[in-house]
Order: sequence, then C-alpha cells, then structure tokens
Amino acid sequence: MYWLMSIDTVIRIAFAMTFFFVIVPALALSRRETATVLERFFWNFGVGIILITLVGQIFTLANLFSIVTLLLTAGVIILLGRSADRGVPPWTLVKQSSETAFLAVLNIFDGRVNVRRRIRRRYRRTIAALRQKTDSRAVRLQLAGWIGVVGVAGGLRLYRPFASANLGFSDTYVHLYLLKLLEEGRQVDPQWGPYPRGMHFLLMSIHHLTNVDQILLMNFFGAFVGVLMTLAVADTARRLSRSVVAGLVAGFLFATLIGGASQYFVMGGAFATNDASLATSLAGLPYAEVPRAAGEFDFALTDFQRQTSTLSQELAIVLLFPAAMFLINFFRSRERWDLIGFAGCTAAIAAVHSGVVFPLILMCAVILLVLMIHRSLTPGTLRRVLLTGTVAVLIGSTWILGFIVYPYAGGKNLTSPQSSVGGTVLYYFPFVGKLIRPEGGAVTTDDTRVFVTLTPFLIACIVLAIALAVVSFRNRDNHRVNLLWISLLFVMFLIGHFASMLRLPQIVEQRRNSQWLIMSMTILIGVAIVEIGSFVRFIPTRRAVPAAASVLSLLLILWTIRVPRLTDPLIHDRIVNYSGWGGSALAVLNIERRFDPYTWTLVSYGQEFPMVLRRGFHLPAADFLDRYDPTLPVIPIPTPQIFVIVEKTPHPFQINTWSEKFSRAELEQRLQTWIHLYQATHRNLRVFLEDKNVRVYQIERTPEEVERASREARQ
Amino acid sequence: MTVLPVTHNAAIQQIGQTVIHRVGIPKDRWEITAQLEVLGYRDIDARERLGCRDLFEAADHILALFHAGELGFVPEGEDPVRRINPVLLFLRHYLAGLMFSLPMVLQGVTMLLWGYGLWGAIDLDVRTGSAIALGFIASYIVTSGFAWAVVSRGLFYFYQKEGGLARWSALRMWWISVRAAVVLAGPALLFNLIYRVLPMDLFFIALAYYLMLALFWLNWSLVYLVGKTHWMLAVLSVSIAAVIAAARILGWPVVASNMIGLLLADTLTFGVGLLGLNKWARNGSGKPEVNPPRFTVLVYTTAQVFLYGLLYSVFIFTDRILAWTGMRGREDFPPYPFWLNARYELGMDLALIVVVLLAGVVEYSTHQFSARLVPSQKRAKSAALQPFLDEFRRFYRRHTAVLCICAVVALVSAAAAIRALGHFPDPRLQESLASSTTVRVFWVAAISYAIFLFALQRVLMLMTLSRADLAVHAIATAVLTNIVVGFIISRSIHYSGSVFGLLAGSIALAVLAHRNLRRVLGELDYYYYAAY
Repeated sequence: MYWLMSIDTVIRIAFAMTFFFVIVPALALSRRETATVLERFFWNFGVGIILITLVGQIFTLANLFSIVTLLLTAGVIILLGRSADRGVPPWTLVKQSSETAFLAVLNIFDGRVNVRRRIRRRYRRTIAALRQKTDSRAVRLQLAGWIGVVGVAGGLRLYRPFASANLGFSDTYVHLYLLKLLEEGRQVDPQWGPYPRGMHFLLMSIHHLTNVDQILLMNFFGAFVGVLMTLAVADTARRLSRSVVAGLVAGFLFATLIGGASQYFVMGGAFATNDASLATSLAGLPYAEVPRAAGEFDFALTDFQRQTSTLSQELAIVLLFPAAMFLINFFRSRERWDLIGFAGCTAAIAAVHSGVVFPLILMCAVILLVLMIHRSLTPGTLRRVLLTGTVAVLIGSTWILGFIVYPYAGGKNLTSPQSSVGGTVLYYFPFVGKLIRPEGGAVTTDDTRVFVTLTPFLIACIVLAIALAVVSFRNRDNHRVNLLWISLLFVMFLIGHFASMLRLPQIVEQRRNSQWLIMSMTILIGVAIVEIGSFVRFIPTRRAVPAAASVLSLLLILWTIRVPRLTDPLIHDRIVNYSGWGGSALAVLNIERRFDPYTWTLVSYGQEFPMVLRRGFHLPAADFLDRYDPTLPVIPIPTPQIFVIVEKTPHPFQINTWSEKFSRAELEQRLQTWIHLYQATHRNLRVFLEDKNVRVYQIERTPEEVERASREARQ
Repeated sequence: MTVLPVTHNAAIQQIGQTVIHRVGIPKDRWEITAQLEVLGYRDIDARERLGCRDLFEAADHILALFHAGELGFVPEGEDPVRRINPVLLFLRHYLAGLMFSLPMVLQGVTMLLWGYGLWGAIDLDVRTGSAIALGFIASYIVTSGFAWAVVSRGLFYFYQKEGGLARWSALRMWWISVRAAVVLAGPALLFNLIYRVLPMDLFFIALAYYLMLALFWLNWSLVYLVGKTHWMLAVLSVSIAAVIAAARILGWPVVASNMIGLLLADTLTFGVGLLGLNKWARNGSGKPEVNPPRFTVLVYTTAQVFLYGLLYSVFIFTDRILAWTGMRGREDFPPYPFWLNARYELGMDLALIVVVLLAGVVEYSTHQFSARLVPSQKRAKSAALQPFLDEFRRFYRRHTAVLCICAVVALVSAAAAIRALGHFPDPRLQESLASSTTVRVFWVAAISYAIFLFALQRVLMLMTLSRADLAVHAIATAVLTNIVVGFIISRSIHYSGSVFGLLAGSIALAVLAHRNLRRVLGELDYYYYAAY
C-alpha cells in the first residue's frame, strides 16, 4: 500500500513541477532557441519560485492562497506573457481567444474539424520531429547519458522515501509544521519568528495543485531537489567546458557520491574537538570503527542524506550554480534574458534560504575577480549586475518584513543571540559570533574546532584546479574565464572546509559549506577530464583518443565499484531511520486515509504532531501519561478513535524540552505499561499496525462512550 | 410587360393574393420579388407556372394587379382590447410567478411538518447533508443553461406556429442535456479521486442526487415550456408523499426514500412535458417538423441564452459554495473541503421568503411589459415616436416604484416570519435562529435578494426584447463581483461573509441591468424592431 501511495506522490510532484516550471512558462513565453532545455528550466525554476513566493506572501496575508488563486495567477501570467509577445492588450487577446474557441467548438460539432484525426496527426508529427532530432547517433548517446544520470540520481535519492514513511531529517518535521502554519494564513511562527518561506510556498502550491498528501510530499520532495542538484552540477560542468561529456561525468560523480566506508577516501572524516591528537587518532580509524558518538563525521553521507530530505537549504543550492552561470553569460552576451535569469535565481535563493546567499555572493565575487584578471569585463555591465543583484536579494528577502510585525504579536526580542533566530544566525555563520560577542548561552560552533582530513583525493583535486588555472592563462577565448572561475571557486570552498582547523574566520558553518564544496569539486573534475581530453587530441597518435576514452571508462567503472549499497546497515540506519521510525509515520498515513478527519486522536512521543495537524488531534505521550488513568471506564478524550504509538525499540532521537523530564526510552516503557493496564480492564483495544520497531494500538469507542467522554472532558 | 394567357393569369392572381396577404400594401416590385423568393419560387417556376420571363416580371404583374384593385387587401385593424380587472390581472400573474417558488415552499413546509422533503430530511446528519447539497447545487448549475435553451428555442418555434419543430427541438436539446449531465459525472469522479472533495461513499450519494435532480430540472423546463407549471405542484405533492411513505411506513433510509420520490417526480414531470409537446405537434401550433436545424445552428442560436442560464445559477449558488468551502471562523470542524453549514443555510433559506413574495411581482411586470409592446407600437406613428418612448418610461418608473414598495413589504414579512419561527418547538432551530451567523446571513441575503429581483425585472425585460447579449454581460459582471467579493471576505474575515458577495453581485447586476434597460428604453422603437 505504501508503495502505491509513494508512486502516486511521485507522479503528483512531478506533474506539479512540470506544470509550474515547464507548462506555464512554455505557454506564457516565446521559446528561446539559443538556450538549452536545462538552461530554460533553471531560468523558469528561479523566476517561478520567486513569483510563487511573492504571490504567496500576498495571498496568505488575506488567507486567499488556494488552487483557485494559484490557477488564476498562472492564467494571468500566461495572458500577460502572450499579450506582450503578440503586442496586443490582454483584454483583446481574451476576446479573440474566446471567439476562436467558440468557433472551434461549432466547427467540431459541425464535423468540419475532426479532433481525433488532428490528435493522430499531431502525434505523428511529434514522433517524426523526435525521430529527426534524435537521428544522429551522438544525440542519441547524449540523450541516453542524460537519462542515465537522472535515473541514477533519482533512483539513489528516492530510495530513502520509498524505504520509509519517516521524513528523513529532523528539520523536515519543522518544515511540515511551518507548512501547516502557512495554510492557516500564519506567515510567522509564533515561537520561532519570521523565516524564509520560498520552499514552503512552493510546497503549498504543489499541495494545492495536486492535493498530494502533505506527509508524503515532505517525504518525497527532497529527492526531487536532490535530482535537480545533480542536474545543476551536470549542466554547469557542461556549460563551463562546452562539452556534454564533462556534464555527464560531473553529474554521474555527484549522483553517486553517497559517502560511507567505500567512499570515505573522497572527503575523509570531520571531527569537532579541541583536542588535535584525538582528531588525528579518530581520522586514522577505519570507517566502521569510528565511534558513532563522533556525530556527523562523514560529510559526504550527511550531504547525500540532505539531498534525499526536504530541506530549504538544498532547494536554494539547486539555484546556486545556475545563478552564477546566468551571470557569466550576461557578462558575455549582455542579454536581458540572462540578467533576468540571474536575478530570478538570486531572489529565489534569498526567498528560500538566506544562508545560501553568502556562497552566491562569494561566487559572484570570484566571477568578477576572474573577469578582471582576464580583462573580460564588458564596460557598463558591472553597475547593472550590482543593482540587479541587490534588488533581487531585497525582493527575495521580503520575509524579513515579518520582523516589523513579530514583536507586536508577542514575539521575543529578536536582536538577542538567545532568540531562535539569533541562535540560528550564530550557528550558521560562526564569524558573526566573534563580531557581536554573544552573552552566555548562545549557540555557536565557533569555540570548537572541526578537524577535517586532507585526503589524497582532495589533493588530486587541488592539483587539477591549479592545472586548470594555469591552462586558463594559455587560452585566449572566453573559455579561460570558465576554467579559472571553477578552479578558484573550488579552492575558495576548500579553504572554507579547512577554516576551522586552520583557525581562519569561518564564514559559513562547515557542514553547510561541504555541500557546495562537493558540487564545485565534481564540476571541476568533469571540466578537467574534458581539458585533459583536449590535450590528448594534440598527441600525434591515432590511438590516443580511444586510449583516453578507455582510461576514463575504467576510472568510472572503478568509481562505480566504490558506490556503496544503500542497504548496507551503516548507511541504511543513517538515511532511513535517522529521525524516527518509519512505522509511526506510516501509521499516521493509514489512519488519515481510513478515518474521517477529526474523529481520531493520536498519542505518540511527539514528532508526529505536525503530521496530525488539521486532520486529527495529537497528544504527546508525556501529557497523556500524566492526565489519563488507564483504569477509567472511558478515557475522557472525545473522539471515536484513539491511537497510541509505542516504540518497541525506543528511537535515539530526543526532543530537547522533554528529555530533561524523561528519556524517550522511559516514556515508551511507561506507555507500554499504560497499555497493559488498559488492556486488563477494557475490551476495545487492538493492534492497528506493527513492525519490528513500532506497535500502534487502536482504542475504538462506541458513540455512547464518546458522548460520555465529551461530557467528562467538558467537566 | 407581356399579356399573359388565362391559365397563367389565374395562377398569378392566386399567388399575388398570397403575397399581398403577407406583405400588405406592396412598396415596389422588389418587395414582391423578395416575397416570391421567400415563398420558394424560382425563375424557372415563373416561366413554367406563371408564363413570365423571371420573378421580376411576375412581380410587375402582381403589382399591376394590385394597383388595378384586383387583389383584395384588408388593412389590419387595432387589436381588440380585453378589459380585465387590473387586480385580477395582477393576481393571475402574481400566482404564475409564485408557481416558480411554490415547490420550494412546499418542500420547506413538508420538512417542518413531516420531516421529509423531496431532497433531504430534517434529521439528516451533516455528512449526508453535505453530499446532497453538493449534488443539488451541481445539478442546478449544470442543467440551468440547458433548461433556458430548451425553453427559449421551444417557445421560438411555438410562436412561429411550428409545433412539430418546437417538440423536436425541445426533446433533442433535452436529450443532449441529459447526456451532457451524465458525461460530466465522469470528470467529476476523476476530480474527486484526485482532490478528495468528499469520501467515495458521500461522493456516490452526491452523484445519485445530482443525476436525479438534473433530470428533474430538465423535465421542469419541458413542463414550463408547455405551460403546465401548475402540474408541478401536483407532481411534487405526490412525490413528497411517496418519500414520506417510504420513510415512515416502509422504514427506508432517507437517501433511498428520496430516490424513490425523485424517480417518481422525474417520471411524472417528463410525462407531463411529453404530453404537452405531443399536443403541440399534433394540433394547436400546427405542422410536423420540416427540415430541422443542424446541431451547430441549434448551438449557435441558443448559446447566449445558455450562457445566461448558466451564469444565473452560478450567481445564485456562488455564496453557498464559497461559504461551505471556507474554513475561516467556522463553528464546526469541516473535515472535507466541501462541508454544509446548517446555520448559513438556514439564514439563506429564510431569506428566500423575499424571493417567494417578490417573484410574482416581477412576473407581473415582465408580462405587462411584453403585453403592452405590440399594441403600443401599433398605435405609435413612425413620425412621432416620443409618446411611445414616454409611455414605456412611465411604465418603467411605475413598476420600479411598485417593486420597491413590495420589497419593503417582503422584507418586513420575512422578518416577521423569522420571529414566528422562533416559537416553533424545535430547540435546534431556536439555537440556530439565535446565532449571529444565521441572523447576519438572513438580513444580508434578504436585502440582496430584494435587489436581485429588482435587477431580474430589468434583465427579463431585456430578454423580452431579445437582448440576451446585454443580459449576459450584466450577469457575467455580477457573477465575477459575487465571486471576488465573496471569496475575499469568506477567506479573510469569516466564512459567512460570502453572503456579502451576493449583495455586491446583486448591486452590480441591478446597476448594469438598470443602465442597459434605460438605454434600450431610450431607443425602444429600434430595439423593438430589432427584436422580432
């Protein structure tokens, strides 16, 4: 059953993404022939997300966000785009279209137009056009390559949500809660404060358009984002090197960089400690022997896990490299389309996750530096870019306006590092901690050094970067900018990776930095392989090219051998059962499908609270145990159904506020005892769902019992 | 012009007499030629049957015969003026108007007295009630356009004394409508599967009511077309009696009892409609159908009326749809996107008292308008049209004043009815009547309905003059206003605020219809000429 729900969810999300970022733009804008499919997609994606966010912010203020307003907005965008394209006023276009439609209907009724024949003709022509386009063997191979990369990336990233209904990452539960708040028309979390809402508006749009289950949406959307990240990497490598091979290699490497023991050689380990000798000894241990208490020491695995979960940072990162590529293209072409693409992606990044604006700014700074080094900066472009970029960031950051209202709505003092927002800023950007000297209690990683390993793989990448930088000075065309840019970019992110260890100012927290470091590294490798290939062509031997191709194939095969199995317990436990047991989430899914809304109450440790919102009622296990005596004839909860989730194996994840009172294991033990006592005195208890970690009990009551429970609850 | 043989002379005299009967005093040869062509004559007929070179020569002969006084001509006299007591006339049309709303009244009364109506029962749970409400609204909206088209085209042929064609067009459009209503259930099912508006059990209940009620509304249009509206009352009485019997005596559930009642009502109404149409085809209006129009022509000629009917029903139900899909400020927990709210519905139902009381007044005014047009036009001299225009302006002002006075009376009566209902011994009813939602909805809806009927009076006058385009424009704007205002208020402030959409839409409709009708009345001679 879960498989069917999952397939349904994947189809719905894919349809929504296609609708928002392919169909609507294709109907609204004339096709840009010079841009590739992926370039157009990322342009639409950036501009689309910021439009959805801006419109969403306005609609949600008045609680008007719904499928009606969503489709209306899409219609208005199509109408305005078409009328601008044809040079006629929108109203005239509406009148013309309606007249044409009416005439078409009359002609169809009159038999003058044979719809079936037209569909068949259109189908034949489409097939013929496709055949013509894929006539060349090279095109077919490229197509197969792209499909292969998407397939590999999708397969690996969809494994986690298909394997478990669990949301994957603890932050995803928070995002689900924020999504539910937005649906209530609340743009600011009363406890947390304002936050960037780009991803939430996109998720809400997908939900409204397709009615996809929100729990499943949160579980699967991250995998889509992971695939888009892979495509962003592949497309950037292709554009930088002007070679599809580079794109496919980079895409494949990124898609298959999972982490774990077999790929530990790539990034090595990362250990947060102030004891250098301890860090050295930990780094020297084999992967399986590194104590789990060392935390997220495998950055590659953490990054992969994040690529399978719904997280706003990863969504923003999708647009990071496309934004930079639009900027590089604008400096060359000075075309408005590229500038809008850059602005759209920048604004979308700011709207989705403000933290990702920092690497974008750094990337843009490197672009300017490279252009200046190679004297390729076109006069008059810099001012436009600076102005556009600033305006885009401001537009994307309109969520900050919430800070004006928040204090008047009972919000905390936001300037304090102790507040949620302040604490996050300090966590995310450790250098800020040094600037503002937080008073005690603020969350900051600045004090603890993070030791990372300089692996031979990274050394090889540094060598490649230096080589590419040198080659860039030998070239005379625009290509040199690309080579120098990706080299410097990789080195810059690598310095960030080692910043804590080298006691350098840490601009962005290391675990966040590692995601774009890996992206730049795989792009660098893809570009470098093509550059090496171009050197090989100059070797005056016929066998040089086949030999180089063979070496590349061998390397890829070797790499593929090192790709770990996702069913490996070390990886499976990490990516599938990281924040909770799948059985609990699956129980919620089954309950909400089987019973009418608001007719059931769920008792669980706590993480299921956002899943239950607006569907049923939730009671945290600690409160439930405090308030309800199992020997009472009727538990005074006024719903016909009560479900109690008991973890047979208590999950290690703990909610901080409760862990001070009880450990999760203690709570689960008490809950099981409560059930036993209830079972001894009642006959309406049965097991609703059970797997190896979780048992879900169902208490079913008669209408009379519910009536009595309602009376007692009122008293 | 040549001299014709005797046989041809007789033939041309006979045809000439027919032409003079149809055109009156002929203006010139061209008019006669045109009329000959209308009668189906061709040049070859002129040569073979009339001995003329072509139709023009035949027209010359006819004109000469007319000038010679050989073709009889009797000028059309004044229409006989039947003196009817104005009070009786008013009562007759008021009752005819009331007939539209009597089924609603009957349904309300039987619900209160015996607990059952044709679609619904007083003890229904909200869950089933929501499904029935959805089926009811969907059936009304889907069939409304078709019903208007059926009536409009049927009457068009009936007034042309083409009874056969009237029957043919009515039954053909009825059958198309039934198929369209059934086919639309498919996409609705798919939509519900994707969007889960209702769980499947409720959806199928909604679907059953939708299909039965769609048939009922379409049959009602046939009954109205053949002028047997009074039969509706009898049919409804029998059907509701069947529902009550099934529920009370046989102990059937409400849905099954309603289905039996609706099935009976559908059969009986169709029977009444069909009998009436058969009568039209047999005698009365005359000929059997000859050369019926193509489907495309049927669509084209009824498109505007269809659109008007569709928009009309959308306008009527927009506020309910918005309220029952809204979540803001609800007193209950709506578990599904569409969930009936009894308090809102009660307020709207009570406001319908205004509609019941005023519908007859509107019917009377509209009838008087169309009844006066022809005699007044005949009295008017083409050189002096001002008295004709002034007469209708005065008529308009007088009837506007009457309607305004009646609206005030209707509002007061509705308020009195609510007060009286407060004494009805039903605690749930009393609780609902005391709620601020019901009271607010009642007052706003009652005022809206009064304004709406004011607008409807003007819209129907425009329709009398075949200005469906102006009516469509006005009601489309009103629907848009209704949706926008209702949507914003029901989502931003309170779900029951959707009733303000009805108010805003009614005002927009009244203003536009008033403006359009004033313009038409200013050039009534032209619009009258263009209408027929």
